[in-house]
Amino acid sequence: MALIQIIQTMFTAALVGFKECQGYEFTTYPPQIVNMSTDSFLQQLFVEWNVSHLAYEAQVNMTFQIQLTRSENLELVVMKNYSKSLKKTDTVLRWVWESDLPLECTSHSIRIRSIVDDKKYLDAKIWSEWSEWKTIWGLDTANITEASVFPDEKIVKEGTNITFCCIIPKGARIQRMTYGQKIFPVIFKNNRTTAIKVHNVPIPKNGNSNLICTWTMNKTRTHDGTVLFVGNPPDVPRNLTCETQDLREMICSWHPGKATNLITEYSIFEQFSGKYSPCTESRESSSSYRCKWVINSTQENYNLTVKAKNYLGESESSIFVDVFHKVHPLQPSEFKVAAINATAVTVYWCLNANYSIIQLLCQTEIYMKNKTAKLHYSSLEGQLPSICYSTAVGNLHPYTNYSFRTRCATAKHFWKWSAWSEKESLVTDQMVPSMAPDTWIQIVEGNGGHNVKILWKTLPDSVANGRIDHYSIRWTTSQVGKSDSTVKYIPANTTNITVFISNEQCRIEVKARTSVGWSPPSVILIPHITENEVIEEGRVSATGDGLCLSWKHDPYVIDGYVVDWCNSPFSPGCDLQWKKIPSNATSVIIKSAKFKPGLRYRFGIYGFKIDGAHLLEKKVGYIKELAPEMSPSIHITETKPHIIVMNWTYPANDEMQPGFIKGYYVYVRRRHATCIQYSERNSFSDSTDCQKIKIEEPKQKSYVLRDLKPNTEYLLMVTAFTAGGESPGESTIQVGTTNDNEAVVYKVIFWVFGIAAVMVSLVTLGIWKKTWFKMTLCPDIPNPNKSMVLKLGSPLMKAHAESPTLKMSPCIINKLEVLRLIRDQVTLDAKLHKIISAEKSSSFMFPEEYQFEAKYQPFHYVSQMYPTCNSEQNLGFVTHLTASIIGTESFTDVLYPCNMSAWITSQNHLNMDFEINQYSEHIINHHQLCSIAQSDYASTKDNCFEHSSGYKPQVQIISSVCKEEIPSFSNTTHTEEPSDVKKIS
Amino acid sequence: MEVLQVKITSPYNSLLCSSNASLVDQIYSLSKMLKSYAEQLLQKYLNSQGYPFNWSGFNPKLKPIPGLPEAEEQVLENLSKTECLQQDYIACVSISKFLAVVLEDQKDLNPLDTDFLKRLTESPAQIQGMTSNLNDIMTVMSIPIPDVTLQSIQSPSSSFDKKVFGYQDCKTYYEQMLWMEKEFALMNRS
Repeated sequence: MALIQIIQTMFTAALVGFKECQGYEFTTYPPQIVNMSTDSFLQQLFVEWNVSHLAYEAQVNMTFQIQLTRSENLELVVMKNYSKSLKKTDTVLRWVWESDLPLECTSHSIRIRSIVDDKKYLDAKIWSEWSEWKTIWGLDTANITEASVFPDEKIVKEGTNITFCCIIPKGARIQRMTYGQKIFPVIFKNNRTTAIKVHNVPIPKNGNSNLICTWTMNKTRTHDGTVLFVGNPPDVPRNLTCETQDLREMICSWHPGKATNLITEYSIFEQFSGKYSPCTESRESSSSYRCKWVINSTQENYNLTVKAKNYLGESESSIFVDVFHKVHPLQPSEFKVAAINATAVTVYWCLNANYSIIQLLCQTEIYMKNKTAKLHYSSLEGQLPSICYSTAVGNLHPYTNYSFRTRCATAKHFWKWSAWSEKESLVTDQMVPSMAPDTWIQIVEGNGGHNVKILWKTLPDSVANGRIDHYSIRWTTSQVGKSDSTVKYIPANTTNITVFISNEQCRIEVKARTSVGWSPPSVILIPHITENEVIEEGRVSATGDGLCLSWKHDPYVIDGYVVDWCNSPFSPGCDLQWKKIPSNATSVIIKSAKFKPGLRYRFGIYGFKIDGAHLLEKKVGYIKELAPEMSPSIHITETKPHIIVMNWTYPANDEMQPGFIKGYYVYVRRRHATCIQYSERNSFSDSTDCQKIKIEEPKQKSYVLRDLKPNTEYLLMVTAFTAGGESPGESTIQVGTTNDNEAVVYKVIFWVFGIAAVMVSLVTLGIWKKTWFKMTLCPDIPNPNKSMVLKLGSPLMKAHAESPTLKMSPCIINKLEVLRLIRDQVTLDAKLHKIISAEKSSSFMFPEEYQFEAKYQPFHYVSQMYPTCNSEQNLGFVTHLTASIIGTESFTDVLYPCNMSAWITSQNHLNMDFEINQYSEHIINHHQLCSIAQSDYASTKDNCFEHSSGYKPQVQIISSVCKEEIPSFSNTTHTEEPSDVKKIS
Repeated sequence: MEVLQVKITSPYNSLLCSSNASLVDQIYSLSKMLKSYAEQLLQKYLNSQGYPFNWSGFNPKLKPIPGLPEAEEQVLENLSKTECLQQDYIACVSISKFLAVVLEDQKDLNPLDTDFLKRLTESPAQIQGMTSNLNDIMTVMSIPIPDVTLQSIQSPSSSFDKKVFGYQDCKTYYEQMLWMEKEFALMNRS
């Protein structure tokens, strides 16, 4: 058998060699597909083929051309060349193709051909025959009754492009395919398969997204679908830290980074020991993962690697840990506090771990209500779990409620404080009070002695050192050679006692007692009381929320000063307060929440001298001055033609005043005068109607108003003022000055004599300067007949002969324009502006609408009228208009130049008609016609157009008077303009 | 006014006359509460599965699941009261077990929706309370407690089918509790 093979091989080799030698024969090795399979999940298609064993034996380089088609119609998808150097050991050739369309969606067919691609066969290259088609049938060829959607259970990375297909049974119809809530375009379709492509898939809100294929069959709609999981490979674990609490196991924690949206498994690998531990409990908890690692008692250093893995990838992060550098002690348990004495306690706690190989630093917080917590540190040797820890805390205050708590950390390699222990509270023991009660006295004179009210303040907790049981009051009066002492015990809730003592020197002692003992005594000496020295009260000023008191330094004061005052100065108890001030001070700011604005407070300043407390100064002041509530009452004591004397009464020094009265304001107003504002002055003068005189002397209670007008009524008022303001002006009195008869007589005499003197002077002057007056006031008027213009043959006449202005013609007013009516100086509506035709008529009536306006109330009107001349008949003339109100009043004739506007006024006319008469012809007949082109000529009845030579014209004649055009009035508006009237712009 | 079409037969009446009215009242209260829970669970379930489950028009064709009771009112109405209580008991036991399977599926499908998973985890225990009460009332009424032996419940292999399977379970749970609330409301009123 072996021999046969050898012979066969040799024969084959010889045959090949022969063919090669021939040079014209082509060598082909047609491939034969032997196997074809798919991986549905990976969407990969595997194909295996073979060629003749001679090709393997010859070890030739071959190129295979692979055609891949889809569906039964063999739609070409891939045309690929695959090169391979064949080896003798090769038994089969393979090619893998990854499809974007799930392979179940439709049939995939492959065929292959080959070519020898070897240098040895350069001249013999030719493609072999194609292999037979090999097909993997898709589900669209199967006889299915349910629809199928592919890919199924796919997990892809965020942003991937993915193709879905839906295969339906025969006879069914796909209605739509949706991914999420969107419909995507179809990229492949045959009778039973429809495919869509989704680009850049996002991470779904619910972790996965559904591809739904809705199809119908026999009018029944069905949903089928698949779920696509979209996520990311695990991010590198961030902020990886490992620590131990009990030195038995380490807890590693990290931040997982970007969310994977997939189930990700974590594990820890330790490099030195080579051990591995899965993190079964590493669930996401507040975006932090935790995993435990058991500590080996013989290993101190660890190189830990946290590995993360999910379907899409894996990542890791490492950390080197010295276990003794990462101790985070457990929370102290069984925490207790026990008192040692009034100022010290012992705190106890346990730590349920073996810390015997480390040193601990523990911190005890001491908290007192309303105070900042203090911290007490103690360095302690670590203990076995069975042994607890303790430390003494001193410098506490007696009889005080404290709360304590403790936490610990490693002393040598500090890593983290443990959690705080539970809080424990304790009240420290009592002690004797460390200070004497703050004591003061209030003395009230009595018969043969004084009633002394002894007052003291409750000791603050900081010095009471316990609960005060009662007070002891001892007062001792000393006379020459003997002393008398009395003691009283007062309950703790009382803070004053009143005792009667004689006028002799007296020593008062006040002590407080706790359950442990007496406080030091508070001593006040009352000197031998003689007659009271009168001490002036000084005023003090307020400084914000307090009153600033200062006094003179007294060298005999040896034991400080006391300032006392009453918080409620007008109440029976007075609520006496005091403040002790050291000897070197001479001022103090007294503040009290009970101080009220507008209340007068009195302060006594006492100095402790060798024989006792002496009153040194008195002060009085307001925390804030207010305006007085009452005004002074005024009385008029005397009135004269020019003088009013007024008095008023006012309790300026009354204790109840809400401020120090600084003076008064006297208000003077003439009757009937309206006073918006009073002008403030320091003294009265009769220059204005409203005056306000300021009097800055509270003791002044009268004022004399001088220089008043006789026989005039005045209104007077007086107010008081403080720094806080002025009292309300409540009562005003009216006073009149009397008549000044003498002045009237003097005035009459003065004017009679004065006028007589002027008259005499004028008559004398007139007689003396008669000629000069005549020339000045009545000069000779030039004669118009002498005018060169009208002189026949004169050059001026010739020059103006053709001038239309010199052509004379009768002037008849043919139009009369009422431009506007003004009522009460307000222009009526513009529509009143009418052109009223007066052609061939000597009068016209006001239109109805004017009458209507006028009916309702009397009014003053001004009408502006404009007569227009007929230029063909007139060169120029003077128009005489008469306007009258029919039935009521006629106007005086007014002489107006033609084409000049005429203002005719009247008032208080009801229901009027308006008549205008024009007498132009009459005027023309009576007057000599005048025409001139310049205005520097004047005319009178007897002469005209003579050069004025500086004389003012009596009537000015406008050169264009007889033109047809009507001058425009800039302030009028024509609402309706007749066509026969031209307007000059 | 709501009209409930429930037949009342003698075993019910005998129960109503007994001194166990408080037990009926208790089951009625529990059924009301569970109906509310089931409704919330169903809503939460649909919201967690994504479109089209959370779409109001979604109405997939549901195939009967072996072992899962069908809480169809027409079917239940035709049962005798004894059968009805027995059917309630079987339904509660079955639904409880089906929900446990749904929970396992949802741990993979919605691992991060902790609120939903918590509600799903609590549901079998809540139904267990109802089962226990049904047990008591059937004992009082001398109704035999049915033996419920379920074969292992097979969840579908496809994730999409798992979602539909869970939907069917939650829907059945809600419908069963809706029925039981009506049933015990009538019993309580009587």
